[in-house]
Amino acid sequence: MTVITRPAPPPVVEEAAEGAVGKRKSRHDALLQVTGQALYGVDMKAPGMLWAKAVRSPYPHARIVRIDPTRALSIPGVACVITARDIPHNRYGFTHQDQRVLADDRVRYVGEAVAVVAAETLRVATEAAKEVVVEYEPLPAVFDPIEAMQPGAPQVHEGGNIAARLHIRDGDVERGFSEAEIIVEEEFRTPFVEHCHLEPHAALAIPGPQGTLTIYSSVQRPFLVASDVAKVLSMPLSHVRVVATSVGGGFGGKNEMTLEPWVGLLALRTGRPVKMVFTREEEFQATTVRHPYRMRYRTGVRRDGTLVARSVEIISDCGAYVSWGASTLAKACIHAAGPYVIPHVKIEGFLVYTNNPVGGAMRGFGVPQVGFAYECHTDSVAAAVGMDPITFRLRNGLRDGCRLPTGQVLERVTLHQTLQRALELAGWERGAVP
Amino acid sequence: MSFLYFVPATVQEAVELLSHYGEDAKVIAGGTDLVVRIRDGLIQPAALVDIERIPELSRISLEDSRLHIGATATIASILESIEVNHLAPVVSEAARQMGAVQLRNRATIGGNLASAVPSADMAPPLLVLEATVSITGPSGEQTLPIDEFFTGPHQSALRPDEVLTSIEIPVQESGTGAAFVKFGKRSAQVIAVVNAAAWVRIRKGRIEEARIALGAVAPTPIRARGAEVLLRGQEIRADLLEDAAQAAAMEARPITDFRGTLEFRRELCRVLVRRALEQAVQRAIKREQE
Amino acid sequence: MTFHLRFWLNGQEVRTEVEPDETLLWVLRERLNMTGTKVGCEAGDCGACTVLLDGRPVTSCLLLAPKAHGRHVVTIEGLGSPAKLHPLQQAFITYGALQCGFCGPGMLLSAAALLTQNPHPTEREVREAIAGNLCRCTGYQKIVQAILAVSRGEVP
Repeated sequence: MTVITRPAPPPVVEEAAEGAVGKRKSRHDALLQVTGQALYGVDMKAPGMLWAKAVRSPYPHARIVRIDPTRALSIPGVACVITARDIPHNRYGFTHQDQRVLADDRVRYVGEAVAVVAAETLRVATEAAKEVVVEYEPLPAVFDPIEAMQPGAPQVHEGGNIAARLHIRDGDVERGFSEAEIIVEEEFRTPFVEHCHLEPHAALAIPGPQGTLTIYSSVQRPFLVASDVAKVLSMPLSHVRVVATSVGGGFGGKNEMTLEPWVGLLALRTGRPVKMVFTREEEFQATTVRHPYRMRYRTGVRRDGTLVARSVEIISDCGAYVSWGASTLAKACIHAAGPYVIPHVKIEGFLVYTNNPVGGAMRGFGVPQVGFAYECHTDSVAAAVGMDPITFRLRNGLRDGCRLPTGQVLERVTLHQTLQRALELAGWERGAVP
Repeated sequence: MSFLYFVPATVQEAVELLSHYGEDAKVIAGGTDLVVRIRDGLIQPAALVDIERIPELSRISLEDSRLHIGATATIASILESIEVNHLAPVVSEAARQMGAVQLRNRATIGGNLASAVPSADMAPPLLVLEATVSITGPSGEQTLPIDEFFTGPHQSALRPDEVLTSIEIPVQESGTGAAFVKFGKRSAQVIAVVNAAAWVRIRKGRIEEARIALGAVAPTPIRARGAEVLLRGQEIRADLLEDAAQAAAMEARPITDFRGTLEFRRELCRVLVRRALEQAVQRAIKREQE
Repeated sequence: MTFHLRFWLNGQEVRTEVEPDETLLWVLRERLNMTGTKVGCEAGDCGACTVLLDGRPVTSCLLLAPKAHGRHVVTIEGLGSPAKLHPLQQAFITYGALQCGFCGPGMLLSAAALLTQNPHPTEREVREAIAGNLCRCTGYQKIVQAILAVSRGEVP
């Protein structure tokens, strides 16, 4: 079997190591990119290739009563239909093993896949996907994490909607607030964000000898995907090879397994290469997003502008499955107090299941949400004590040797130099309100 | 989803094909709207009648003191047309704000009107210029004032067996001026949250006649005739333009959707109409002096 | 219904049979195996599929294949080759105007059409010319710099 592979890279004249630092270097694959020869996931092909198409839930929350692929299978050109029953180990996830390769008992968000069809052409696969009969019994759904935390809310999974809870405590926050002369309290909200990498998720699976599998995928973490594919398909890891193609943008959106086990299993079942590309609609509906956060900040400060206490409550809308939700929330909690010296800190994070799209990894991994909140909040606190926001930051900013609420002692902190340089460039004069 | 594809050489041939296939056929020109609607499964035509290769349909010319723009003239060709730029600059102004280069190279003025979306950028300028549209059907050609063309979202006076063939714009006399303004989330490649056009005829510091049109704030692009009456015969004053803009905002019937709320759209109407009126007045004064 | 499509692709005559609902993008990538033209949104929004039709940039995802009949199409493969790069291709490498590179083919063709029509554009004209080509990685700054450098004849 011939596979179209990447053309040989152009010769690169290696520069001496000592001459490389501080010099402009071209991307190693730039020549392929500008001539259209770089091969991305969407570009992969193999002779005899089938096309796959997912059957997706129109309901945010429903019990799956019945899946009948008979009519789809009777369409000429349809090679195979897989459902949850075909997945040997239908659970995966980085911190929580709650995610299904294909929905089994229930669907938990609009766009969750319940079956995947492989056919001779994309046209036939698309038509056949519409002919897979799925009978649903709609269930009450919850879209607001606050509502989801209330007793009696629809349960997205057994065991309650709070998927994870994190705490960071430093000092005695109650004492800190009692020592404060002014207390500022605010709530901040951030929205869902879709990565919107230009290249959609795309993969090509090729069956090899002795039940082995090679999957070319537009993915940022090929080794994680290989081990997850091996696990859910109950294959030895040595039988699964995941090759990352050129990736047409990821930004965290291609940081986990998505379509690889589907095309992998279909390739094994049919003995033929299987390709799949998500549509832009599927990208928006059924791939991960940045978690929306609700953040309540409470800060105690003295009239002279010294920060004394801060409490932060973060509620992360996890969506239907945990994915990177607990990991991003952990990072958010670590950063939530901001780059300021505060003796008494209490941070609490809640990861809450809803029937919304699944939150995952995205540039900054939980930090942009809290960064937005603590910097807006810092301006408010500065205003409350009548200081300009720059002076307030210079006064409270972290320095070498400072200890974070997590206990980490910092070295080589450049916050003050960075801020000073920014002020110079902006032409700011001390005391002026920017 | 496949369909039959016809490439008629004349309008007559196109009408015959449309008569034969009736509701199951769709006219395609640039296809920038139609292809998306087909792909999304919103329409499932059995036949497409491609009018892009009928030569006379893309002509732009001056005929009997009316500017004639063929229905398949692309937005790019309108932008490049010296006639349009000179005789109906407000149409060029709207064309410049449509989509981006790729879309302007394909989308046609006829398609923008025939799609009959409330946000069509070509509609407000043509409404204030009191353009007419020519339509050819089995019983021949008829001409319609443009404000009778739009009948609802994705609905127009065009019947399934008819082809929109051209748009005619009366050549503007001295002392007139017009402007188009659009608000979207970007300056390119967006559907308007609100768009507006204004046209005035001025003589010696007085507004003799005014026309205001709004898009994306009602089931069709509309004229704000109440606001127009306020302006008629009045001396030009800043507060008069503001009053008219407020009246136009009250004539709008916007809805809330993902592009904007009802309240935001109404406020935009006020701001955009005022800006359009101010510009139109300035241009009219300039032309009066020329 | 089969449509007998005949057009010129990067100067070469191409004849192929297509279904009329196939887009030029599909024909290029799947029937002719020319995958340099990228597929991004299939709704005319992202510009990754931009090709030149009779010299003008168009989104090939919205162009039904019969529309290309008898016309000239230029794709990224026709702009230049690794052995003989177009100045814009060289500039995109030199200025680091690409990260993931997926917008590159469409971006380069939009830029090439601009410079053919307007060899000395202003920065604003460059930005308008590429407004229909989305890039999620670079923030456009280096892309604009690269195009302006070519317009000034500054590319090595």
